[in-house]
Amino acid sequence: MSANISDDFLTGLREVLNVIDLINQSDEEEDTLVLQDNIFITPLFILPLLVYVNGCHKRVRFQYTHRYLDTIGFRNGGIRPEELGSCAFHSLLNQCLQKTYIPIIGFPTNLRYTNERNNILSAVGNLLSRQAQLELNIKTGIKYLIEESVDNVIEHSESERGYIFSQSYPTKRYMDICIADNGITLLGSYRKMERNQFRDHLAAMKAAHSGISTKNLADAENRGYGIRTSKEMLVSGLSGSFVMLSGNALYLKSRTVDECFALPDVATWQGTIVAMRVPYVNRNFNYIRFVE
Amino acid sequence: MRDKTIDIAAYIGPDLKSRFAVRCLHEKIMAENSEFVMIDFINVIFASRSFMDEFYNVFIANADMKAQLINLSPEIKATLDAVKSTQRRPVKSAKKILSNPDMKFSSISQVNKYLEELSFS
Repeated sequence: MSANISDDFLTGLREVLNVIDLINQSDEEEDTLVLQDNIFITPLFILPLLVYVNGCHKRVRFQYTHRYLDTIGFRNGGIRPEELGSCAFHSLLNQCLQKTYIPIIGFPTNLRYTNERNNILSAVGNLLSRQAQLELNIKTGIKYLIEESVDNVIEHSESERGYIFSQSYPTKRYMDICIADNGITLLGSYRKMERNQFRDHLAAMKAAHSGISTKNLADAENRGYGIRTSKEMLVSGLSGSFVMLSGNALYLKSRTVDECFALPDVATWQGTIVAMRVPYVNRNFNYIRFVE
Repeated sequence: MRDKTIDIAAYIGPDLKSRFAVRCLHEKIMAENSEFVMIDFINVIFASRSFMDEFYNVFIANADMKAQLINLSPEIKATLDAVKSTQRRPVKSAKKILSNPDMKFSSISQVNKYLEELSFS
């Protein structure tokens, strides 16, 4: 594939869907995807592709000479900080200080890595902030958006690893951040609830966006605010856009769109993906106004 | 049994995030057998809502734990207040689910055509 990805946030997603179509049209037991050098890689292209291929019913190999893909750690399915060691990981991030991307980081979700994971995510947040020279109010908002998504991966996905990847576009003054997992999907998480009433990915997606949590206290609705608060903060507070994929359900929210729909069955992800386009210029933004 | 003051930023870092971190902190405190704990937020820069929700339930709403919080910044206090206000919100018998009509696509070309025409900005 050689398509050029434009300014449109959803272009990367459409490209992934085209790839999925190709994979499913092929009768081969193993497919080779050739990514040409002129392809423009965005977070909403590369992480959904990685998650789809990881959970794919057939083996998919990649062939490319695109340097950027190696730079962002795509070849090995992302960087594993706890295997690299703290010094090597921080040194790697320091090398990105003058760049506009954060490599694909596959962070461990296991409880025993709680401190390491928090350090990893703090380092990522600080790097994003320094790369884009963010004002404190925006930095804090982005931190909130990342933390709520990552916490959902840790609490609900049952995925061994979560992924984060970001690319800033300084001339456009926005950054794309994608957070993903190869877990049990929203539907899988709801299925573990007693008296679950959600039968398909679309119903589960709608439930998640209506604030229905799988882990409320017995007599309260103390949870289920993360997604709702995040998307309001992003869309109303920062004029950004929010995309969520889980199984074959797709949710889109921007200033002009608030839609949820089911993709064809072939486009079913074994996991959940959140992608955010975050404009980072708004002096009046204060994240606390959106915390409910 | 002892009383104890904890600089939470020294234990967890200046950014308080993840429910797991709260559970780890709780385990540490329990292991030290403290009856009363004063938790100092002096060097905290940020706390996620998830962290504060877990923190509220483990340290404030938990009858077995006597905790006093000090030096909360206005932002951290606002997050804690937001969390508090939802703790006793009763379960509604039928929570309103997004009511958009179900849209299902039968082919990827159909989806892509739809996405291309969508004014998503």
